Amino acid sequence: MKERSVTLRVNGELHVFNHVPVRKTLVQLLRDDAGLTGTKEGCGEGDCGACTVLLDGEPVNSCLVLASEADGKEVLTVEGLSREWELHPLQQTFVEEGAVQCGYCIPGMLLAAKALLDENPSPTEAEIRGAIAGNLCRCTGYVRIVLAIQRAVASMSRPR
Amino acid sequence: MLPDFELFEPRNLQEAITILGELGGRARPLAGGTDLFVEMREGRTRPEYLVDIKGLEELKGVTVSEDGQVVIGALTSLRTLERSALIRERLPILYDAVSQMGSVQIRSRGTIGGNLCNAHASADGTAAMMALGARLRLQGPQGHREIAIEDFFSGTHKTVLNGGEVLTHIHLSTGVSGCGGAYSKYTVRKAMDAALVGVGVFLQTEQNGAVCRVARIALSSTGPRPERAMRAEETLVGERLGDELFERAGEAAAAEAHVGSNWRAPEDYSRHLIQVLLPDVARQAWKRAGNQGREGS
Repeated sequence: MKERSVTLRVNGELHVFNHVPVRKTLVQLLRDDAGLTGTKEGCGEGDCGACTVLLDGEPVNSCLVLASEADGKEVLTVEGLSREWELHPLQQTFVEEGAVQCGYCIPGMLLAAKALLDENPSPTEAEIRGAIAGNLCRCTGYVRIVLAIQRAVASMSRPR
Repeated sequence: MLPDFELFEPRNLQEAITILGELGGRARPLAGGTDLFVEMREGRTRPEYLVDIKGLEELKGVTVSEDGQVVIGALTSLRTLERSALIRERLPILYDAVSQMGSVQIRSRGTIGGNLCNAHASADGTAAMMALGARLRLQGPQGHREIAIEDFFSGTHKTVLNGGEVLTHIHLSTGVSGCGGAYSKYTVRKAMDAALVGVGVFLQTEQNGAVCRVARIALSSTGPRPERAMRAEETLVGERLGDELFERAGEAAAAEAHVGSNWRAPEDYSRHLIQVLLPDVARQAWKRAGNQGREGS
């Protein structure tokens, strides 16, 4: 086949896309068809991590996943992180810590960090750096990004 | 978008074998896609057909066979292996290798079978499994066969898979007591970097870990494909293990490796790295061999 329909849940909402070319990647489907442009395409080869989304909870480079491969699965993009007008703790601490400069890597960085915290709520600095090793940032030098993730760990473990 | 291709999604292994057999060299099987899509984007491969085999559940997961071997489905993701308590406890050498590969994102998609079938010289998982003496099960239109991992590679990026043949499972023996293995690689960066040199060492010891009974040493990123360092192995077998012996094995491996100069490193530097890295890896393997069966190991 050259085309197929793709059904997937994006940020909790069910989407059906018809006549999707099989050579279309997931990042293109999200940006062009679902209109979710928060996910960025950088290198297109799985090196930079800007296109990171969670596919059934696992961080993946959406430039290296066919839209058809995501059929029947659940996708979380940066647009699905906040609840109503409340930022996700990671988003909040990235703002507070000044972890964002140009911002291009941040959607992928946030999702890589979320995947880590979902699995390991109290990571060491080395574990944080390992989890974001596939997300390149050319502005910040990573220091404030790591600090922001550590701050999110602290804020999420505090009883509300 | 990727270059144009037609997609097949077989529902079981037999269907996949039939489709791949009929399409021959014009088709590529699609597992994790982390190498294949990059090759397609860069124009290094132009398949007319992709056969997405990810739906074949029978090729996924880690199990233990009746005779105590660990059996890994070829479509098991690197991330699944990294997370597997069974792998961590019984085959820590494989954990060493897969947990150092690519990024979390790549490990979530990439499969151990894909790592083998792409036949890259720098394949960490392959070198670790070579040190473990892995046997590979292949299934094709003419039935199945089982081969040693060393016999799987026919050249740079080439395997002995015939048309329609699929790597289905990897069989690994965990060994009896007194066995241990380790893998380590030297990279310029701490992550997301292919090895300049990778070394895997498996030891079976006797006399309470004092003497080497069996040694298997595998090198990655040296020649056109991962290779065994037989001379270095012979240096160890039958001898009393210790630092001096490991240094000698390192020298032997550095001398025998089929390494040439490339853009990553000149030949003498690669040989130097093998010599320095091997004793460290061997010490770690020895430590694990000594710890076998003890609580908390």
